[in-house]
Amino acid sequence: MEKTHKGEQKRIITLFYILLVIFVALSPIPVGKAQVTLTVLTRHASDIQGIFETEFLKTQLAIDAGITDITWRAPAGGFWPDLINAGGIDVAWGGGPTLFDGLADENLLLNMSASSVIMEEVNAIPDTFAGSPLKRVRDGKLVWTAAAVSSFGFTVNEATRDLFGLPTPTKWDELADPSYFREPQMVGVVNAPESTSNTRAFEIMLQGFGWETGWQIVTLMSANSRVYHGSTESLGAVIAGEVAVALTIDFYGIGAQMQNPECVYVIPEGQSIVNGDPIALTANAAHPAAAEAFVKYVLSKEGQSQWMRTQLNRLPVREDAFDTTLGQLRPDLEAVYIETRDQTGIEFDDPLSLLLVNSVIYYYAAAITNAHAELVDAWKRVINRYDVDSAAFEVFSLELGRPLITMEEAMEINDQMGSDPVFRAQKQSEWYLQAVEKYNNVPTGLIDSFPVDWGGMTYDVTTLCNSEVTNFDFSQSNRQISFDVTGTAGTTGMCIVAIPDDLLWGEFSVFKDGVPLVEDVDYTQTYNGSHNIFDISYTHTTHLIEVKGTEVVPEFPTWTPLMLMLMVLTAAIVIYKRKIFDKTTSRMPSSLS
Amino acid sequence: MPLGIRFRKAHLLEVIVFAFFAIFMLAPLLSMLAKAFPLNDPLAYFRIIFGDRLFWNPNLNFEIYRESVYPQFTVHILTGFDQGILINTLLVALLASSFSTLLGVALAYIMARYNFRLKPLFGILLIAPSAAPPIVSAIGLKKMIGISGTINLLLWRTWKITDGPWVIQGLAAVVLVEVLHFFVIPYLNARAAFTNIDPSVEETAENLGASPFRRFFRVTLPMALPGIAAGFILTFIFSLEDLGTPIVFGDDDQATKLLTYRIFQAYQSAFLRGEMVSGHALALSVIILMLAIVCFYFVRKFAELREVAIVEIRPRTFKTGPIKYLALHIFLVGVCFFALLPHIGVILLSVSDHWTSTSPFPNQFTAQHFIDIFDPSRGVFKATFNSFVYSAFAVAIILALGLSAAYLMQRTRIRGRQIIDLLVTMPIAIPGIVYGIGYFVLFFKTPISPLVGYSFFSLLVFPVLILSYSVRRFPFTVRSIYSGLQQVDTSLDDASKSLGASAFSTFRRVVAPLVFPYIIGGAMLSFIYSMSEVSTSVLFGGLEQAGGANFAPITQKIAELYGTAYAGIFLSAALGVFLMVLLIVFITLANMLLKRTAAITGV
Repeated sequence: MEKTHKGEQKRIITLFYILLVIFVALSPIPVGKAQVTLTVLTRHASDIQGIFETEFLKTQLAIDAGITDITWRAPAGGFWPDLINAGGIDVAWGGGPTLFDGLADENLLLNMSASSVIMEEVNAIPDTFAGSPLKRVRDGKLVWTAAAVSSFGFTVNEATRDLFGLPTPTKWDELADPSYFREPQMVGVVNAPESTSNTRAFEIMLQGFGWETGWQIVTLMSANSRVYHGSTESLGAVIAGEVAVALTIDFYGIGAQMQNPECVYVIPEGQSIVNGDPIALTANAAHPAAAEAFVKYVLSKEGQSQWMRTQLNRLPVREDAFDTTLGQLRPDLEAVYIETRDQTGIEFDDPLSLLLVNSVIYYYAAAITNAHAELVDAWKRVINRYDVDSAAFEVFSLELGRPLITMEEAMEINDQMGSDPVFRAQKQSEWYLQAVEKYNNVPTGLIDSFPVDWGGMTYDVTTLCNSEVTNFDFSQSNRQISFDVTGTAGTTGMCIVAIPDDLLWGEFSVFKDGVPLVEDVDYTQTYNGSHNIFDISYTHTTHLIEVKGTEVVPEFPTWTPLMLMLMVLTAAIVIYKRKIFDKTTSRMPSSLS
Repeated sequence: MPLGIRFRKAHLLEVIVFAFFAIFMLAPLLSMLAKAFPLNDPLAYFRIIFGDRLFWNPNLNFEIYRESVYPQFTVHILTGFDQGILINTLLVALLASSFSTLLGVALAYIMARYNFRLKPLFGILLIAPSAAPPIVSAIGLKKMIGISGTINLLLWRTWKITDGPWVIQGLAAVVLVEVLHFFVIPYLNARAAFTNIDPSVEETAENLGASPFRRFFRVTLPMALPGIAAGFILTFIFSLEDLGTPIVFGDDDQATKLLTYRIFQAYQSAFLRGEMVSGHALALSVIILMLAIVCFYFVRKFAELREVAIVEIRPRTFKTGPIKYLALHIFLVGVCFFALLPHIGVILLSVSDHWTSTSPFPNQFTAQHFIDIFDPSRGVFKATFNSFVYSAFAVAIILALGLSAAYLMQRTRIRGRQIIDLLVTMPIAIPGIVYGIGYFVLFFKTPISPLVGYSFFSLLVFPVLILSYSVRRFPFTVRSIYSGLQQVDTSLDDASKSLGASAFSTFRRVVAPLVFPYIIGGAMLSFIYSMSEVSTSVLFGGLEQAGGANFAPITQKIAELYGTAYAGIFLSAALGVFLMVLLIVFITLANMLLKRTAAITGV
């Protein structure tokens, strides 16, 4: 018995040696010492690194500069300043304008305009592309230049879209429409803190439609969606047909087309978001001349054509890159380039974005991603119970999307949300709880419908409040509706009231306890085509709320006077006729009667 | 009275083992604990957590199935129910480990007790699920069982057996994937246990008139129970610490309501911002750590209660009748099919040129991705080599220390052996993400931090991953050797010593040969699980990503390829297949050398 075990032991040891030899043999033999090894700090993936390294090292530029190897370092953006300060980084490349602007703020980027070598290429790059800046100048110094552009749009899986009967989106806000609601959800978005590109799309809506309406769109769009936790996951889902529409970057969309021809990339009409992805020379570089050679190559016509390889599918910053051999092979990419260039982009307010972004992403994660199941359930209830055109639908979808913080509050806490993890956790916990409660109360919560019978017609005034609504009254003579709201003293009260536009219309004013309220401060007013909707907030006790219009349904409908006249006339004729008849009969001889 | 080697040598061994774990396991954890309990208000983070409905939300909603009716078809949705992160985590672990154990024991009994021609094939197929890292298997599985996946397309649109697609999502999906992935652990354990049961005991039961049913439940099962219980615990803890599955099914928020996921999310956000991991996340790490350790402690106590003495090892097998033969094959084929679904998905993805969502199989096949992944610029060879080296070094450390530790624990009465026991088995209770965060906290913004210095970390990845693998995969070997020692009755030691052998030669010539399969089995498990380790590989290997640093292990490479824009899914699948093949080749080679199919005996 022991013999066999010994044999086994020997075999094991032999196996170990065999494998060791194989792997040592397979291990790459270290290349001879490089003359210059360039170090590039990047957020670009390894496929980009590989292609540019191989192609650049072949060029005369690299040979002249003595560059024989490139070391790629790809840590998260948060570590970049430390790494550049530590020295030895030659070039920074890819990671988005925000990251590079931050580096410029800390004086970690060199002035590229000082290098005539680079400027030859920079001058061939337009200053802007589809409204987005491709160069950043600070105090007269060029701190970065874009080395690629990308747009953000939808990747649509047409087969899945048709199977589930979805429309094709052409604008961001369309995705908030109930016609996109499916079970399971067939749209893919990414949790805001986990995708800068999706965050940008959400911010566009907040800036373009205003804080309140923007959040309503973002929330309902997310209620129509599955919330992924990374851009690649959402891309994978649309390729696999798990969802029909995903919000993606252009090169993801084009890549998706190649992996599954049922996919198409769609640029939102008049709402495109275009970004230039920077390259820059860093401070404390070990090989400044070599760094310049590399940047020159990346920005050159030849370098730019590398983006058009089928592994990358990125858009170059210079159009003449399409004239190169590689460029000639990609008319499809050129078409996307032209379409992107000619799109009207949304004017994006970067400074405003920076004032809000932490609050926005963490609010999204707490109130939408974490409470997603409750949100979807509430949205489903609203869609199933009410007609899309009804006031109740409008009221409830407004309530679902109503943000739990104002823009001013969001600005105020923005910095702390970014820097103080304890505060962030507390806030997120609060938002989550409030959101869940809100979603669970929609629409079963405090909806009331008050029928107003007037002139033989019934008009429904709908309220959705977190207060008790009593003493509802419609006064035709005062052209107003009024009611009392009561709630726990000190808490914030909210009441949305939808008034049919054929009951009360014209210029509106809202009063609380007889005191006029200020529009857009104490309340907001919107119109959905059939109802005027007022969103009023106050501090709870008991308040009398009055909404007054300038026009009101008349006491009698317009046809009543006519009818009355007709009736009076008829009555008059009848009476007159009868009188004549009476007279004639009374004059008749009695023998005849 | 110490039974084994001399007291002083035993103490020296003890000190070495203890020091290793104190430095490489306890230090990171303690630094994490220190941060989770801030001095001025130690329970601040815990108050936030326990006040949060997200964390603790027991309710009466147990709905797991619903339908969504469309004009042409009906979508059937299987989902889980959300009871708050804490309950979800425990419930998922309990369900996953229970189902895995049931499945594993049934398979083990068949494989240990019946002889049939295809047994060697099934022997390999059944352990194949362990030969793929969770990231890739989950991608493959999604392609198979997704709403537009192969199975739905075949059953619904091609064969028209169902009236619409079946969708499994949320916590239900997490449980299913974990069962399919982890059943192999209780299977290996139970199989080793069944194989080692003294046949004479069962024969005696039979002679005394016990029915096969009664014999199984009254004799076989109780004797195998320590092994089965060990498998159950391991699966429970694996499920508790599983991160890959919740990530892949995270598109349903339910699947993200698990502890590991929340910790990972916080780590990721801290990492991207270059800041310290939030105290909130550290507190969550402490909770999951405590949970795992408490569970581990209790169930292990239970498992230790039943020690079975073995006198003779000669596995007992039965011949099968035709009906049993057929039933057995149907069962095995069924299990293998479902267990290998993720792998089938990964393989199909790896060879598809393009694959539309209306086609159950790739529209066009290609081998290009296998050529592409080995493009020198991608550094796949280097990553494979790295993984192999890290794992081999880790296994060497594990074997050296594991033998000592197991011996100390099982064969001596040395003081502090309970602590050693706790230390060496604890890594299994330490979720990878917690361990990773511990390292992050320990080194954050210190002079040897991977994140501040320029090239220092490139040097650091190498030992950090080896140590991480050796600590994390230590228990596989040590538990394996330990249960081996448990099965070898100490009367054999006594007999040897009474014949004049020294403690060392008793160990070398009597005990070691008897537990040899356990040593090799444990070492191989440690190796395989090191090669496919994800948590710390992705955390640390990912710090420097591909290209320059060249220290990334293979699992990190898979995660990275998945994130590349073009053909990312196909490329990562191709690399996944490569890793699978590598591991299967390794297992098969070892089996051939050992001339037995039951070489992997489990933990």
